[in-house]
Amino acid sequence: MSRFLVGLLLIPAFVFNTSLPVRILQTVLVIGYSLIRKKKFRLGPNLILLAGVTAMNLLSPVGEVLFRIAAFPITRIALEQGLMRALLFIGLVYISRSSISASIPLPGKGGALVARTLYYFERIINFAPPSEEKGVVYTLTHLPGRLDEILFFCSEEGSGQGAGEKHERGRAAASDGFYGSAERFYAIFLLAVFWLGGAYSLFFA
Amino acid sequence: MQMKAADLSRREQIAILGGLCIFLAVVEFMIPKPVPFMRIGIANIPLLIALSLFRDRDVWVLALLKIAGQGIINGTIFSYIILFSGAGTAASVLVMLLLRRLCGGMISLVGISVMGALAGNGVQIFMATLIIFGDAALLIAPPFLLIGVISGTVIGLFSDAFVARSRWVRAAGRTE
Repeated sequence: MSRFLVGLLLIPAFVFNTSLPVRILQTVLVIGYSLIRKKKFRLGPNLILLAGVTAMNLLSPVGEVLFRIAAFPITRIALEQGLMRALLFIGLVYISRSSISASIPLPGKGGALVARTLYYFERIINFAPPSEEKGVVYTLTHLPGRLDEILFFCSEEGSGQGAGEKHERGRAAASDGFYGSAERFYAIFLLAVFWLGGAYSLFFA
Repeated sequence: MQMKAADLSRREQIAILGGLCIFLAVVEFMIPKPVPFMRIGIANIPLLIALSLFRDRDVWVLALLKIAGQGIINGTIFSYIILFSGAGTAASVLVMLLLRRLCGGMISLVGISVMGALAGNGVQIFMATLIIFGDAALLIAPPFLLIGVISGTVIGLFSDAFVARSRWVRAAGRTE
């Protein structure tokens, strides 16, 4: 079973889950999976994203008022929706990082195009601007320039990979399999928890 | 750097814009909306960029990637909502391609974007009338279409300015 297949099987159980506690558990576990695969994890940006998306959702109050910050009501449904959305994004990022490699062996021309699309999606997520150009404010005030940078970044990644594509394709296809038994065991554990959690949220929560 | 964008095959350029579609669909999903049917449509930006670069067939391929990507991100890929999304995008792309073909340089990306948004929203209202709500769906038509015009204008203005100034679009346009 390849890493890509594991990622593919994780996504529906993650996206269709409607329970916040289950989603928190799934996100933590998928970050653990990413760490096992020796991918980078930074707490700060994820916390900022979590707080930012949740705060934006709180701007449209829905449901029971839990408490107030000054005169602003913090409502239950808006809070849950915000956390669900932010965790969905964070979790999808780590599922992508863990399961998408430079050349996923999908069959046919269409499969190859889908694989490349997913590859570039993963590259865009990993795009890191120069340190002086970081931050939401800079991005929002320089949107066209930032978009151009992202497209060039993807082009460089794509052409760099295309240079040794034949050699890399074989290597990447081979690397799509699992390395050790620990990773294999964790992936099976992850799939079981994800699907049981998803089923629990659909039928019992 | 510009050479790298020009060196890429058309297929790679479609894949890059497809990846961007999925990313923007994620961003759009995280933005809270005051009304459930409101859509900003930022995932349409790559389609508008593609209009200035690709042949009709390539734009359709990108539209398919967008529909599938949005379905996965929003969790609607196995539900009937994907029909709404698919039909809306298909109508929008059809109208945008027809306008490009018929009007050529006489219409800007803003006009194309607004007409595309109206076509997409119109088809979605039609489907809602047909499948779920019946004639009651017509009640949401005015705000739905108004939101489409506003978001289509904003997205069109952004895309128009981007395509005019982007070095990537210039470089990618040199690919045969």
